[in-house]
Amino acid sequence: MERSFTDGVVTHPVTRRRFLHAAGAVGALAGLQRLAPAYALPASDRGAGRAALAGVSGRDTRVDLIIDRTPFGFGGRRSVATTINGSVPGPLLRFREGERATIHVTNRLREDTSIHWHGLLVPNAMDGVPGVNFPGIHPGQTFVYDFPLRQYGTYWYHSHSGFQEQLGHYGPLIIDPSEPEPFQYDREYVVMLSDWSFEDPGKILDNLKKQSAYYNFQRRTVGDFFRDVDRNGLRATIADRWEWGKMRMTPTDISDVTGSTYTYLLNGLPPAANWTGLFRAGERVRLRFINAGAGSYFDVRIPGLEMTLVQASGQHVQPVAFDEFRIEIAQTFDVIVKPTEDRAYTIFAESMDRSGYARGTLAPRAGMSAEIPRRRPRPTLNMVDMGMAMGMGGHEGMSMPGMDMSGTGTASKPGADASMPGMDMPAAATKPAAAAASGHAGHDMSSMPGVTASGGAGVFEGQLRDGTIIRASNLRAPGTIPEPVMHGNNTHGSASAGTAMETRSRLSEPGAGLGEDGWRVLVWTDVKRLTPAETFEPPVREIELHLTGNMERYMWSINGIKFSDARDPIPLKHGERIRLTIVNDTMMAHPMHLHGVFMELENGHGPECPYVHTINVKPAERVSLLATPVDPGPWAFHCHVLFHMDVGMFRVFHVSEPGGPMTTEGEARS
Amino acid sequence: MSVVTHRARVMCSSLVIAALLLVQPARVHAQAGGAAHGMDLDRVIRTFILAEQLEVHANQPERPIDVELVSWIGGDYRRLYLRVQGEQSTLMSGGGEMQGDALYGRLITPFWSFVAGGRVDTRPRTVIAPVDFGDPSTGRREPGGRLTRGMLAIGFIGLAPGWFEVEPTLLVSDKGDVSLEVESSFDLLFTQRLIVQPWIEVNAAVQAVPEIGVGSGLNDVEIGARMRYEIRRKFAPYVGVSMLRRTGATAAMAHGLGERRSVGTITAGLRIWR
Ligand SMILES: [Cu+2]
Repeated sequence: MERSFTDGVVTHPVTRRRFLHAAGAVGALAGLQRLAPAYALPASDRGAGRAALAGVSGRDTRVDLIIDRTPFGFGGRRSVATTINGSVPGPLLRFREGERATIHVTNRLREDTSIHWHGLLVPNAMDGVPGVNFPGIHPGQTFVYDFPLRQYGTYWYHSHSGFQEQLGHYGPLIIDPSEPEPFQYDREYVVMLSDWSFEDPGKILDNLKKQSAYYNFQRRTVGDFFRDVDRNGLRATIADRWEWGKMRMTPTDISDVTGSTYTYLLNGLPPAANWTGLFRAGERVRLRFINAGAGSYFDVRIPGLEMTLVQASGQHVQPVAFDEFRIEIAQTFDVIVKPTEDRAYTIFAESMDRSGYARGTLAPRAGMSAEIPRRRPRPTLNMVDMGMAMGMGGHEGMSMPGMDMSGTGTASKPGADASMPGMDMPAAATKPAAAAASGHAGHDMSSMPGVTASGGAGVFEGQLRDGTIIRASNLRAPGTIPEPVMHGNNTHGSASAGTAMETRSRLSEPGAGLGEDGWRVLVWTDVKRLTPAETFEPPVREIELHLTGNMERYMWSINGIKFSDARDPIPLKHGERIRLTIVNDTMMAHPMHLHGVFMELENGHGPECPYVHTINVKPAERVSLLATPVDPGPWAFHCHVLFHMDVGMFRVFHVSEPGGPMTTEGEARS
Repeated sequence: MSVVTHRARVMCSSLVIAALLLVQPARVHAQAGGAAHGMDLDRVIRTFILAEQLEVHANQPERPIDVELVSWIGGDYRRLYLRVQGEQSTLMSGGGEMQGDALYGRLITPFWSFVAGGRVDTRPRTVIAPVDFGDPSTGRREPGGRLTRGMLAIGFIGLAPGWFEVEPTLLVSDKGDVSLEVESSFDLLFTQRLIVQPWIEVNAAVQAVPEIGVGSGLNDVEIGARMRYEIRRKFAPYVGVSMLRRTGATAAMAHGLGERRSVGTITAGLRIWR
């Protein structure tokens, strides 16, 4: 593939050509275009075909990234963004699999910064999470990231410091495969979706902390009540209102930061700027979708065009065609479209709660645009999202798969006596919750069975101090979908409002507000990896984490304990096959991301389970992933909704050294 | 007390309120020094100040201003609550009443905080000079200066099923008088910004405190509704109506003092928070 370095982002953030263009531009967009990176420039300025996507490469080139504050704005409003080489999003970094990336990151801010390479398998010290992998990049400092590129695909990078990601500190990253790709295309574009607010993100979080519905202008009103009475009858309507009121939750709680403060961007441009990608009729166009939103899921469609998924989370998948997909925050989907008509097509990325949209255009010529679809009505959650058991008729058999611990004794369980904390769900799982409620997170869980296991004692099970459940026997077959599980009467303490009664796999469901329009919607059960695994090992341990939250105080946590109250990392053994089961006990969707390892999503396709770095966990959903962590050290695990992570939905997993003991405390916090 | 000093007092209290609302809360930005995602941001101490009521009772002869401030400082689980309630005539000097609560609160269940602390209550003392001994309704008012009481307060602040904000408080005065007050309100959305908030306040006392016209048993029940328009979430003008109904011995005492058993009020005010 032809590479061009003319973009020159290496040391000069603004090239002469781009600067001249900006200087000559008029109107509200002038400032914007100067900030827009090369791939977001107006189509006529971008050159054609693949060269358009030439980025900064690591080969023979030292990549320099400068983090700074730069004026940014649109629609007549101005603000200051945290930029990378002066643009939002940052420059496209493009490497080849097998190369080595050497990236110098200079901090010109007055606060620390960092870059995390989302989805990349890098040595621990290069992962870029301050306080976990390194101290962060202090003002004035240059940090050199240097790592081998061990994979191919579409990824992105972003700050892991403070609120910088919300302020524009993110950019696309492409690694071209060393082997030929199993699909063909004539052109390619990055389509990076994100959300921008003219409000200070610290202020946004402060508002949410004081009134969690602050940005929700789609709540149910008296008018909705009477409309529902007309539709469903008075009795049913009152019953419905009471059901929600009892739980003190609202079915319109889809996104907590919405279009009331966000403008949704496509390649850094607001809808009015209409980013355009050119094509010639009949060409195959590869679109590399990246959701770089700090708090927004997008429902993407290109009316008139069928999309075919070829990569998910950067990895090849068996092609699957559809008309719309929901992209979780931090996810990447590569799709191929084949526009045959000589006309414009709108890329329409509606925010999940329908409070706004990002938009771009695929067109044969610059300056064209197609009809912008009407936004659909805002979706509402239902009782399944609340974890109300659907078929709960005393099916005890289905209730706790893998939990009947009757015939144990084979696995080594030091300290796990007859009581086996954590294994008899309802009673034991309540403990840490109660501890969290009292503000002494888990201090009474001194037993910590297995955690003290010395090196070599590979398999342990029990419950960690933060309530994480670890199972080591009676695990179901790898690649299968988790069965529905009743939660029991336990809660996760005061940090968790309303524990889901029943959680189940919902990978076959499109999600709230999708799939009702008569067109095909991508669901995760459609996705299979291209080449089935040759050996598909069963897990030796299952780690179960519950996502918890209390919207009243905008508290987000894991197992009812926010990160700062759960300082012990979750131990993983180098090279061991684990299953990570994430259970969502909240009413919001959470895009969960584990650093340092690719996870195989157990969507029922056995050895064809797709690889993911981030997975959306719907309300009341139970998702399982398989992983074999290899790179030792502490790795971040968190919700990719920026504000959820910031207030505590975050943990550290610690992978032991090869042959070494599992780490249980301290190290992760440096 | 001269009218001048009275005006000064009204102005001073307005200034204090304005200052409270304008005070800059601590920056919540993660600054240099290693504040990283999910590490320290989840421990930020925040300050919340809500002027639930800043209102004029338009139809009352003394045109009183009524103020109710609720504020807290703290984190997710533990907060210091400060509640201030006051009423002051804008036309006449003297009189006026004020209550200030300082409460330590702790989240004990997802929707309920337990609170405990103290209250200072100051109001004009009324001395009932009984004409017919034993029947307070035949009393007459005598000037008595002010009565200031210190009280222990314990209670809850929470959200009951159905989205009712409920604040029951049990009070024990320095004289050992025990009373209970319960406040509850509810938001009814007519549109996303036009919100009607019905509310109720109930007061009861174990012992009579004639100095302030309180009898034992149920003292009064006040119901009302405010209709606010959230120009911004944090800035909402409102109009309101309320009806106070005194009961039992409290009503009898009020009657004896020439006050009505039931008082209807029309108000206009602002709801502001930050
Ligand atoms: Cu989340």
